[in-house]
Amino acid sequence: MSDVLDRIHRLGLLDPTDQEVLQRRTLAPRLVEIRGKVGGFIDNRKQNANVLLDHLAERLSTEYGMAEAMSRAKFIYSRVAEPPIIDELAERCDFVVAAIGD
Amino acid sequence: MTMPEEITSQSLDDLTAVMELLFESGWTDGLPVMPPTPRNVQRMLAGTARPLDELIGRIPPKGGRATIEKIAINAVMAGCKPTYLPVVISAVEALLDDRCNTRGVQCSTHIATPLVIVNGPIVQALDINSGHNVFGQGWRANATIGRAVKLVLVNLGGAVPGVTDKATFGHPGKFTYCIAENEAANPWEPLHVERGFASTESTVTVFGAEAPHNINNHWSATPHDLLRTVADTMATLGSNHLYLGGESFVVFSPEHADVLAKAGWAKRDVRAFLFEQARKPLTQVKIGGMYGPETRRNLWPRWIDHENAAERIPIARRPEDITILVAGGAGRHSVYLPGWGSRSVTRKIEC
Repeated sequence: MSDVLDRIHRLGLLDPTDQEVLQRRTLAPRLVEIRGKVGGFIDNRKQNANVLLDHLAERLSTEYGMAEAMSRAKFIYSRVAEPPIIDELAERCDFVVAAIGD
Repeated sequence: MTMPEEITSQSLDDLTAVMELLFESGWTDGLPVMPPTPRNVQRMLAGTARPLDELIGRIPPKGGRATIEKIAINAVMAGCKPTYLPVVISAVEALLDDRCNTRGVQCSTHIATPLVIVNGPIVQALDINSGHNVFGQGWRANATIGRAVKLVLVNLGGAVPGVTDKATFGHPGKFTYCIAENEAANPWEPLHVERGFASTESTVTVFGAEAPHNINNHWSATPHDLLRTVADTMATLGSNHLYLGGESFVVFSPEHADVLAKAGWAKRDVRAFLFEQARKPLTQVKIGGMYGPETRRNLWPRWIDHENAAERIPIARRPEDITILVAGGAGRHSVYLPGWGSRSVTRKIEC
């Protein structure tokens, strides 16, 4: 791919993308262990999202020693979580399970 | 523009090689694009008085910076004329309005993609199709304005199919999805006038929409009969609107609009009827759809009685969430455009 981009740039063609942003990795640093950590769980309101996340939090607590679970529900799955929810989870949690798919 | 006699077979081969290279770059929608040479982009930028480094905003989900220059580069690739550029820029500005929920529309498993609707004198000036085959092919303005907007969303937003764009299906409007309202055949006020703009102003409206659902009614001569067909097409178990409400569009053909207007119906009468009639019985809603029998997670108005088997569930929370347009050519069809977590946003086109 970089070879293709090099050839395009050599031709003087202009780039329709924002390479700096597109190549940025956004994964958070991985945790070594769950024990003693605070986990956040966002229910995106899809069917059974709350059931699955409650079960996950329960198992992380009993089997992996998670210290505390904070569960919050978004208004609707199609929208970004409200800023107060994101701010609260970012401040208090060591990790967050952001959503589940269908 | 280069005259045909100055083009050699070698330059045509070179052009083909460049187009193949652009395919490999991943910057296209799967169709050939015009090469974004500095000269082509300069020519495109002549279509606007705005400075090329002006930042319109960051396109979700990845947040690429949409400057006037970047939009112009994508407009060149889409095949736009310079005069189309202000429409594309204004559409991008509208898409960055939070109400439009472009981030969600770009990433969802749902089928929706932004539709661009143009109103005002610019429709005639740019020859944007509002008549026969309005959602189809054959008009450079419709095809390339819609395509430029999509290239901006993908190239700057980073919505890569299967990676960040998780659409289960998508629909053909993801190549291009741009229409104009047929104001000449509209018996009511056009969309932009309804929204407070002067009829002499030109606007662009964007809305995350499913593909058009056809509404065929060649028979009805009264509003009640005709609109029952429309209402029945709107209220279906597979539609998000039955569970979540939100905005959706009905695009009436001129002939259908004529039936309604000749009977003295205003847009508000049509909306009121559709709000009352585009409903499904609660007992049917519980058999499937998004949430099945567990109806408490639906975003329904409080007045819905979840325990009353005779309750009828509307597809919107209020009549104003049903937006009405008139477009298309002769023929007794209309179309319904369900949305997805998206509110339409209208902006004046700034040159």
